[in-house]
Amino acid sequence: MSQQNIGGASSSNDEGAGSSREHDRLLPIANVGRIMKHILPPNAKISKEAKETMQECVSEFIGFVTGEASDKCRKERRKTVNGDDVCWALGTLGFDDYGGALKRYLHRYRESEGEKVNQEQAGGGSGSHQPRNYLD
Amino acid sequence: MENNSEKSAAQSSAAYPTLSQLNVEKNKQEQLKMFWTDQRREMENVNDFKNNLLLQPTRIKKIMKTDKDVQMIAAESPVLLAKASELFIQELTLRSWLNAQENHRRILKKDDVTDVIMQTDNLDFLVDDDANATDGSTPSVVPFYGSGGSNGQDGNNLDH
Repeated sequence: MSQQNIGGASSSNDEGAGSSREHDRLLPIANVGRIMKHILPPNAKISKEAKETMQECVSEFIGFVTGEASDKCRKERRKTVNGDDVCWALGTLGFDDYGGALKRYLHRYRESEGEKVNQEQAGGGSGSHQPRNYLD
Repeated sequence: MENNSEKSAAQSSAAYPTLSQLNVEKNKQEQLKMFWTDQRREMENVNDFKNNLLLQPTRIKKIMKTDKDVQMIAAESPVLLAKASELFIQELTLRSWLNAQENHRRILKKDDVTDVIMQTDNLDFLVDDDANATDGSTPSVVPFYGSGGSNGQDGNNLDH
């Protein structure tokens, strides 16, 4: 018999909550499948089980990295997990290639967001440089 | 990249396994290196960050939030993790595919993925620590068949 969830971030999978909780815990299989196809030769096929396994793996990956980043924030008495924390976590957890490439990506993302903020602040906003919390 | 894949398949069936294995391994490393070079170049050329993503930051954020210890999340974090997840899927898929090729298959199967997970150090977090692998069978990897909730799928893929 196989065991329930392991890994860094524990997800609380109540057995009663069922599929809606799973829906939140996993990324859409269509998106996952598309990304997988993207990297393979055109004649390659992917079994459904392989896609489902990948779905689970990605969620574990996200939880794992997030947990590490969040731990760092807690130790440093910070409330907000930011991009630098994510990059740091990737490096610490053995994903050096990711950390390096994404640092650069983050830098460019911030620049592009910064430009937007400058345009929006024409009327004088809060002036706060802190990235706002992610709202739906 | 497609040509290299076919070359690798041809080399795997060469007369001298040892030499062939070396070539396969070398080819693997080269493909992975190329993968990273390509990805870095692609990322360098992204200008519209939000629309470029194949995974939605809102979904990523939901997954991040399943960790009760996480308090606030800066807007940039799910965007970054979305990109990281893309890379993760692609790299793991590529590695698994190289595995499938070694077995002369053109269909990527779950075993290919779990094989890679077992062989790759930084993927240890995906191995189920409590697996009963004492009989030499493959330890379970990633709780695809969880004990309670399911993906809304039937249990027809389970092997108890």
